[in-house]
Amino acid sequence: MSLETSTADDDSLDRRKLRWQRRLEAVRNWASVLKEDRMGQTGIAILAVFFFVGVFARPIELSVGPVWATVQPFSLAPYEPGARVAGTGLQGPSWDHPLGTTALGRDVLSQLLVATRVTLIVGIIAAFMAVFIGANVGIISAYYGGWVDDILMRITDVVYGVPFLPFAIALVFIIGASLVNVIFAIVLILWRGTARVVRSQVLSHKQRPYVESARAIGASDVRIMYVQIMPNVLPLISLYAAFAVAWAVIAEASLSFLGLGPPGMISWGEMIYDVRSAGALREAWWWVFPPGIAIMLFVMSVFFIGRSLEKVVNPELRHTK
Amino acid sequence: MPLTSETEERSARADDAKLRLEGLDKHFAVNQGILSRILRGESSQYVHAVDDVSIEIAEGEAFGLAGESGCGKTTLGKTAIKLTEPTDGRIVFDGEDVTDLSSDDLKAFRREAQIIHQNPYDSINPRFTVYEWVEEPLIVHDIGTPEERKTRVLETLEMAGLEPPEAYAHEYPTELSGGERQRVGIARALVLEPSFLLADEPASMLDVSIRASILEVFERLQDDLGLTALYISHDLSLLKHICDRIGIMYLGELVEVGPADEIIDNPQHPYTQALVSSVPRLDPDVDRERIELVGEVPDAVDVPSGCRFHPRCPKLVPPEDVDLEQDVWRAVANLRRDLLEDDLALTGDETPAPEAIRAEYDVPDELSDPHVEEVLSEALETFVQSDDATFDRLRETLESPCERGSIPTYQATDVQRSQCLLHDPEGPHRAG
Repeated sequence: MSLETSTADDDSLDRRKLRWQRRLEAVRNWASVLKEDRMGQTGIAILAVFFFVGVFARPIELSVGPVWATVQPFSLAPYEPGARVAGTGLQGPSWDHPLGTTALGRDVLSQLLVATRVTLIVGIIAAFMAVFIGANVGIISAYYGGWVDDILMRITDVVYGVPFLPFAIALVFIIGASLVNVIFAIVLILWRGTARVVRSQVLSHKQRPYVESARAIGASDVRIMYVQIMPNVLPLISLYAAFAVAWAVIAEASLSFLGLGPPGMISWGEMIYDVRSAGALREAWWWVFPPGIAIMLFVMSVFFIGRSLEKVVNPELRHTK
Repeated sequence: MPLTSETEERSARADDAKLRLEGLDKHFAVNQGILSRILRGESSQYVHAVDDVSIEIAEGEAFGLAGESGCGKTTLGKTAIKLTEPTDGRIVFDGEDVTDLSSDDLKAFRREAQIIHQNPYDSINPRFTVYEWVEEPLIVHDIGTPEERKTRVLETLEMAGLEPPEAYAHEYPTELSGGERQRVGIARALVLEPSFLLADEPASMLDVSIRASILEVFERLQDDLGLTALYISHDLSLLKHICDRIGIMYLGELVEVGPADEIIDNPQHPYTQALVSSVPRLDPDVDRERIELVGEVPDAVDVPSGCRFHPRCPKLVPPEDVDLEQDVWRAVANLRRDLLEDDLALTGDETPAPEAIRAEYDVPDELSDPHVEEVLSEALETFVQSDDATFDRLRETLESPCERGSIPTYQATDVQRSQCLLHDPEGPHRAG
C-alpha cells in the first residue's frame, strides 16, 4: 500500500487530478449531448465567431498610470470606427467600405465589429451579476424558509411587477448614462427569474437526506448551502446564465436604441439609434440591417446553447426528438 | 480520559445512562402557511409524532425501537440526536442536558452522536465522491492534516467493509450498489469516532443477502468500538438479533420497554403481542395464536383519548359491570365507537335495519349481558332519528376505562414496563 509513502505533494496532486477529472466529466457529458445536437453546435460556432471578433476587432491597450502596453495588436476593423473616412455623405457598399458608410461618413463595418466588444462585455457582466444575485437570493430564501423566504420572495414579486424599459429609462436618466449604469439597470431587473427557479430547486434538494446527513455531522448553514446544495443546482444556474446573456444583450440594445446607451461607445443598439436619428432608416439598408442581424444572431446563438444545456439539465428532453 | 475523583465516579454510576430522554414531545403544526398564520394566529392542530416518551439507554447498550410505519420512531430518534428540536421534554446525553445548546456546543455534540440513514440511495450527495463524502465530517470539525485525514478515511472505509478502500475512494455514489452505499454512509458516521449511533432502518432498503452482511458490520462495530446505539426498525426479528433492549412505539407513545428476548418471547402490552404475533416463525412446534388487529392506525392529528391503542386493542377492558365475551365486547365497542362518531361502515342501504348493522359488525343478535343489550338496541333503534339522550347513555354506560385520562406506565414484569391498564397491579378499574 502506498499510504505510508504518500506525501503532501502526492496528495494535493491527487486532488487536483480528481477535480479536473470531474470538470472534464461535466464537459464530456455536455459534449455527448452536443454531438447529436445541431442547434447547440451552430450556437457555439456563431458565438465563437463573435468572441473572436470581440477580441480582435481593435487593438486592446492597457494603461496603468503612465505605463501602457498593447495587449492585443491586431485590428480586424479596417478603419477607426469614429473617423470620418468618406467625406460627409451617406454611401452604399463599395470595395473600400463593404457595408457602406454612415451619414457622417464613418465605416459601418468597422463600427459593427467594434460594437461586438461592448455587446460581449455588457452581456456577460450583466448576466453574470444577475445570475449571481438571483442564485444567492434563491438559495438563501429556500434554505432558511420562514420570514427570510417571505421577505426575499416578496421583494422578488415586486421586481417582477416592474416593467423593464420604463424602469431602466427612469434609472439611467437619474443616475446618468454610462456602461456601468446600463449594466446596473439590467442587473436590477434580470436577477428575478433566476431567483425564483433556483429557489424551487433548492426547496426540493433541502428535503433530501443528504442535507440532513450534512446537518448531522455539524456542517454550518453556509457549508450546506454552498458546498452541498449548490453543486446540485449549478447546471440549472448555468442554463439561466446562458439565457440571461441573451436577455441582457437585448436589454442593452433596447436602451441604446432609445438613446440611453453608454455615451462614446458604439454598440449595435446605438448604431440603429444613429440611423434613426439621421433619418436614414428607409434608405440606408446597409446601415440598419448589419447591427440588427448581429443582435439576432448573437441572441440566437446563446439560446441555441441554452437549449442544449437544458438537455444536460433535464435528461428527459434527450429522448424527445 | 482524565482521572475521576471518587465523588464524580459515584455520581457517574448513579447516572450511567448514555442517553436519557425525559418526557420528550415532538409535535408538528399542521398549518403553517402565511395566510392561515395571519387569519387564525398560531395553528391549533398538531401532529403528535412523539408524545411524552422517556427512555434511558445505558453506555454501550444497543437499544431497538420498533413500531408500525408512522408511529414516530424515526422522529423520536432524530429528536434524540437533535436533528429536530423537541417541542417539550429534556434530552440528557452523557449526564449533560443537551436540549438547548449553543451552536458551538451543538457542533461538539454532533461529533459524539451520529446517524445512519434509511435510504442509501438518497443520503449521499451525488456530487461527492466516496472519499470526499467520508472526509467531509473531518473537514467540518477541523480534524487532522490532509494526510492524517486520508489515512483515517481509508481506515474507516475498510472498517465499514469497503475493501480495498482505495478502489472505492474516487467513485461517485451512482456507481455503487445499495449495500456499498450503505457502507459509505456507515463510514461517514464512524469517521468522527462517535460514541452514540442512531441507525434509522439501516437495512430496510437492502435486499436480504446484503442485509445480513450490513448487520454483521454493526455487530462488529459495537463490539470493537463500544458504541451505544439506537436502532430503529419495524423488523422485530432484526432487533431481537442485534439489540439488548427493545422499546415498542404506537402512535407517538412508548407502550412497552424491556429486554429484547423478553419483549419477543413474552410480550406484555396487547399491541406488542399483536406485533410479535405478526412476525413469521420458522419453528413449526411453536404454536402461536396470531392476533389480527382491527382498523387502521388512527390519525396522529386527532389521537384517541386515553390509551391510544384502545380503538384497536383486542384486550380492551370492558366497564366493570359489563359481562361479555372478550371478542363480543370488542365488536360492541367497535359498533359503539362508530355510532357515536356517526361513521358507520355500511355497505349499500341508506337506512339499514338494526339487524343488518349488527351483522356488519359481527355483533350477535342477542347479547348475553341484558344491560348492554338494552343500551345498544335502544341506540340502534334511534340511530335513524339520532336521539341524543340514548347516545349519551351509550357513551357513558359502555365507556371503557382505556378511553379515560392518560394511561400511566406500569412495571409489567420484573424487566418490562408497559403502558397498559391490564398491568395495573390494582386492576384495570381502579381509576374509574
